[in-house]
Amino acid sequence: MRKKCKSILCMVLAMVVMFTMTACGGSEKEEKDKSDSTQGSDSKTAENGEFSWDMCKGQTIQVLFNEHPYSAAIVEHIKDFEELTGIKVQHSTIPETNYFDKVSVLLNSGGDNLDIFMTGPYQIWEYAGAGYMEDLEPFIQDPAKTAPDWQAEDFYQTILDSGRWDGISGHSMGEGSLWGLPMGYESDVLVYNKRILEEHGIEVPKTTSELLEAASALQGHSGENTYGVALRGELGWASLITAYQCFYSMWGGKDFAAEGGKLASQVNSPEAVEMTDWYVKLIQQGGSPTWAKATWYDLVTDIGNGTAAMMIDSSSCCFTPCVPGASKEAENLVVTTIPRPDGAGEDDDAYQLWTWSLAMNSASEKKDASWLFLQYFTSSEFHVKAFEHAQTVNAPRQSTTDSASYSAMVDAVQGYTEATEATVDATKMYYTPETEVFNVLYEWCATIQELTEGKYASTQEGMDELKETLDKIVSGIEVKE
Amino acid sequence: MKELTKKPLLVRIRPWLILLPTLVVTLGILYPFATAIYYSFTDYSLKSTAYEFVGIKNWVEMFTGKEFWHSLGVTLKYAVLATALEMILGMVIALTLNTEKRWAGILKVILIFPLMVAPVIAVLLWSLMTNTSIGILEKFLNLFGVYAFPWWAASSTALFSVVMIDVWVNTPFVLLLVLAGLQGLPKSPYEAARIDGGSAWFTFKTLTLPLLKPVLLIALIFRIVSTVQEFSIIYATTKGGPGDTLMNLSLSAYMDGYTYSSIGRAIPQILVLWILINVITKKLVGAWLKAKSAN
Amino acid sequence: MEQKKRGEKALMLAGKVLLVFYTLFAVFPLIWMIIIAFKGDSQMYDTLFIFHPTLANFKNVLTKGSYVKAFVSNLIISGGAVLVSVLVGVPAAYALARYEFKHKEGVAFTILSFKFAPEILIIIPVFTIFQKLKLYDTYFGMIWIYQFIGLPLLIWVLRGYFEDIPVEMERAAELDGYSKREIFFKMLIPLIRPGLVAAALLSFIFCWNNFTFGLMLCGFKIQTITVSALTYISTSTIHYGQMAVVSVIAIIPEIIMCLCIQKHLVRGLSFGAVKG
Repeated sequence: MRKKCKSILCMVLAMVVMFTMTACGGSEKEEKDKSDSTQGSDSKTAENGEFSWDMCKGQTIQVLFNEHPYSAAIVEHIKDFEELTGIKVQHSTIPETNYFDKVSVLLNSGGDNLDIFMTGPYQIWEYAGAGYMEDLEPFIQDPAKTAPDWQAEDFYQTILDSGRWDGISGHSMGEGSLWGLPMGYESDVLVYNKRILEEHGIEVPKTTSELLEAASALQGHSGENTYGVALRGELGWASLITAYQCFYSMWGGKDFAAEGGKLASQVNSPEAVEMTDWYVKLIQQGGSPTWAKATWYDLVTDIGNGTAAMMIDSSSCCFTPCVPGASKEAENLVVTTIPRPDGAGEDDDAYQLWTWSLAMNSASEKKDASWLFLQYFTSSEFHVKAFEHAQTVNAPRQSTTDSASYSAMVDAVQGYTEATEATVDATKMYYTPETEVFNVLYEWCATIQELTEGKYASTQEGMDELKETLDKIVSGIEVKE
Repeated sequence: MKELTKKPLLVRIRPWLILLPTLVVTLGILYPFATAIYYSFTDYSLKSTAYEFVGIKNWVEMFTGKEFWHSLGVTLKYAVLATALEMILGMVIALTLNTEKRWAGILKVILIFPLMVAPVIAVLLWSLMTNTSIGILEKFLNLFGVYAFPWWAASSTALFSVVMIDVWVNTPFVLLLVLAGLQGLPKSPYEAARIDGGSAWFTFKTLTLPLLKPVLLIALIFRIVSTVQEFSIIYATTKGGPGDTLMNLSLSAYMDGYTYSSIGRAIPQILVLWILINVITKKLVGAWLKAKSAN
Repeated sequence: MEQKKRGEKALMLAGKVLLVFYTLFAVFPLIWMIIIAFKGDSQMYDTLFIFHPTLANFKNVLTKGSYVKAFVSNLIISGGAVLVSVLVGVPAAYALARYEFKHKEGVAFTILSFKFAPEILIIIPVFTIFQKLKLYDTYFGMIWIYQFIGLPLLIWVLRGYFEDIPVEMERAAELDGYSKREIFFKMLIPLIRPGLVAAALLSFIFCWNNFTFGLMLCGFKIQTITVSALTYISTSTIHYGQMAVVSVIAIIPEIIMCLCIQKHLVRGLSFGAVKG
C-alpha cells in the first residue's frame, strides 16, 4: 500500500510536469498554425491588381537586426509601417559580436523563422552562394509590388550595385542579381586633432611615410598613454577591412590571383610585404599600446577624449566623435582623406567599401510582406528620417544627401564633405569574393598581431607562412572563368 | 505465488519510476548529442543545406593539424591555472572567514556577489576598468608609474588577465562550498585536538583537510568542468588572440563552426573536449565517493 | 611552543591581509559599476569619484529599447527552469540516495555529465529540433533547455542531504502511522530545505547568466538579458553609463534572492559532505 502510494505520487508528479509542459507547448503550436494558414491565403491577393501598401494585411514577418544606429532608426518607425500595411513585425536586435553567427544558423536551418536580416558585402558571398538570399531585382521590376515613388534611380549607382553579384567565387561584385538594399555605406577616412597637431608643429600627413613620422612624433603627445594614431586591432575580420585593406590596395597589393582554377594567396608579394612591414611599424611606433584589443569603440573613445591624435577607420566611426558635443575634443577634430603611399597618385586611391544592407531570406514564406518592409525602410522618405534620427552619415541616396537636415548634420563636421567627395568614386569592394573570407581574414589578422609582437624574424617570413595557411583554407574553392 | 513474483519487480523498478521525470526531461538531450556526433563524420557546413558523409576526414585533419595540439595545450593551461587559483583562494578565504568574528557575517554575503555577474557582463565591467582612457585600474597603476598596462592586448599578459576575470567571477563558488563544508564540521574532534595542544597547522592537516576533502572535490569537479570548456570570457575579451595565444578548444571549435561555418570540422574538437572532461570527472567522482565513505 | 604560536599568529595575519585584498578585489568592480551607472557620458573621462550623479542612464535603459522586456523574459525562463529542476530533481535525488540498484552510480554520473556537455556542441542539433517541433522562440523550449543548466547541481546537492537523513527516522515515522506523502512533505522536505534553497539559487544564477542558449534559441518574442545587455554597445556614442546600468539591473534579482536566503545559503551547500 505504502509503496503504491509512493509510486503513485511519483507518477502524478511526472504527469503534472509533462502535462503542464505539453499544455504550454500545445497552445503555442496551435496559435502558430492558425496564423500560418491565414497568411497563406492572404499573399495571393498581391499577385493581381495594382500596388497597394495593405496587400499583405494580417501577415507577420520576422526581422533580425544588428545593433546599429541604422537599425535603431527602423525600430523607431516600425509602428508607422505596421499602421500603413497591417503587417505585424516581430524584430530582434543582436549584439554585433554574435550577429552573423546567429544569422548563419537561422538561414542554414531553412525554416521560416527569419524573413529579413541585415547583411554586409562579405556575407553576401557566403549567403547568396548558398542560395539563402532572395534576388530583389524581380520585386523592383514589378509595378504591382513596388510603390511608384520608391525611386531606385535615386540610389548612388555604385552603392546600389555593390549589392549585386553573380554568385561565382572569384568574380567581382557589381553585376548579377541584387541581394540587398543599402541602408548606408561606409568609406574610410583619417581624423586628426588639429589642436594636438598644431601644438607639436606637425603637418597633416599626406603620404604614408609622413603618417608614420607624424604618428611616431605624436607618441605620448600629452603625457603617458597618449599616442599617435588609433587603428583597430582586435582579433577578427573587422580589424582588416578598414585601414589595413585601404593601404594594402593603394600599395598595389592583391589578396588572391586565380591560378589554374584555384585561388592563390598573394600576401607574400613584394608590395604586400612592404606595406605590412610599414603598417606594423606604424602600430609599434605610433599606435596604441593596447592596439591588439582595440575595437572601433575604443578608437572612438580615444580620439574623442584626446588620447589619440589621429584615427583611421570607417567613415561612420570617424564621424561619430566629430559631431559637436559628442566628445570632449569634437571641435578640434577634422576629417580628411587617408594618406597615400609614397609616389602613389589619385589613380591608386582605394577605399574599402562596407555597406549595411537589408536582405530577404529565400526560405521566407511571406516574401511579399517582406518586400513591403524592405521598400518602406529603404525609401527616400524614410532615409531622410533615418539619417536624422541616427545621427550618422554616408547615406546611399542622393535625395538624403540633398536634404536640409542631412547637410546641416554633415556641415557641422570639419572636412567631412570634402573627404566624402574625394573618396566616393574609389570606394568599392577590393576583396576577391570567395566563401572562406572570414577564415582568411582571421588568420591574416592573427599574423599581423604576431608580427606586431615580433614573433617572426621578418615580415617576409610571417607573410610566407600566412600564404601557406591561406592557400590551404581556399584550396576547396574552384574559380571559374 | 503471484504476490511473490510481483513484489520484487515493483521493488526493483521503483527507483527507476522515481527517476522517471528526470530521465524524461534529460534523455531528450541524447538525440542532439548523437546527431552532433554524426555531424563530425560529415562535411556539414552552415554554407549549404546539403551535406555528405565524409568518413573520418575531419578527425584525421584535426589530429594531423598543429592547431589542434596548440588548442589542447591552451585548454589545459587555462583550466589548470584558473582552477588552481580559484581553489586555493576560495579555500584560504573561507578558512580565514571562519576564524574571523566581526565581519564574517556580512562578508559571507558580499563576497558571493561576483558569482552573480554573468561572464559576458563581467567582461564588460573589467573592460571598463582596464580601459586606458577611462579605466580606474589604469589610473591606479599610473600611481605606481605603470602606464598603459596591456591586459589582454599582449600575449604575455593575456592569459593572466583573462584568468583574473574568471577568478573574480568563480572564486565565490568555491568559497561558498568550502564555507558550507566548514560549517558542517563536527565539533568534538577539534576539542580533543585543542586539549592535546596540537598546532593549528597540525589540526588543519590532520583534521580539517581530510574532513573537507569531499566538498573540495565537488568544488574541484564543477570548476574544472567549467574551466576546461571556458568560452564566454575568452570570446568576449580576445576571441582567442592575440595571435592564437588563447585559442582553446572551445574557441577554436566555435570559430570553425560558426564564424567559418564548418560544423563538421568543429564538432570533433568539442568531442575531444567532452571526452577529456569525462575522463577527468570520472576520476574525481571516484575519489569523491571514496573520501565520502572514509568520513 | 612560543615559536609555534608566533608562527600561527603570522599565518593568521597573512590570512587576514589576504582577506582584505580579496574583499577589495571582489567588491571594488561592483562599486565602480554602480558609480559609473550614475555618471553622465560627459563626465565619464575626467572624473573618478566626485561628480554630479544623474539618473539619465537609468531612464534611457528603462524607457528605450527592449531591456525591460528581456528582464521579464529572463525571469520567466530562469524561474521556470528552476521550478522544473526542483520538481524532477528532488525525487531523483531521493531515489539515488535511498535505493541500491544496478547502474546507480552510472545514472548519477550520467546526470552529472549533462553539466559538461559543451553548449556549442549541442546547439546546432538542438536548434534543428526546436525548429521541427516549433519550440524555437517559445518559453516551453527555453525552459526545457535551461533546466539542464541547474539540474545536475541540484540533484548532487540534494542526494547528499537525503543520504544524511537516517533511514530509521523514516521508518519510525512510518510506524507512527504517517503516510509516505506526509513523511515526504512534512519531514523530508523541511530537513533538506537549506540544500534545496541554496541549490535552487545557484541553479537560478547559472540560468540567469547563460548567454549561448539565449542567443541561438530565441530572439523575436523572447530575448534574454545577457544578449540584450550587449546591444548597449552602439555606434552613435559609447554609453558606458548605460552599460553599467544594464549590468546593475541584471544582478539585482540575484542579489535580492541571495539576501533573502542568506541564512540557508552557506549551510545549504554541504553536499552531505560531512556527517556530523
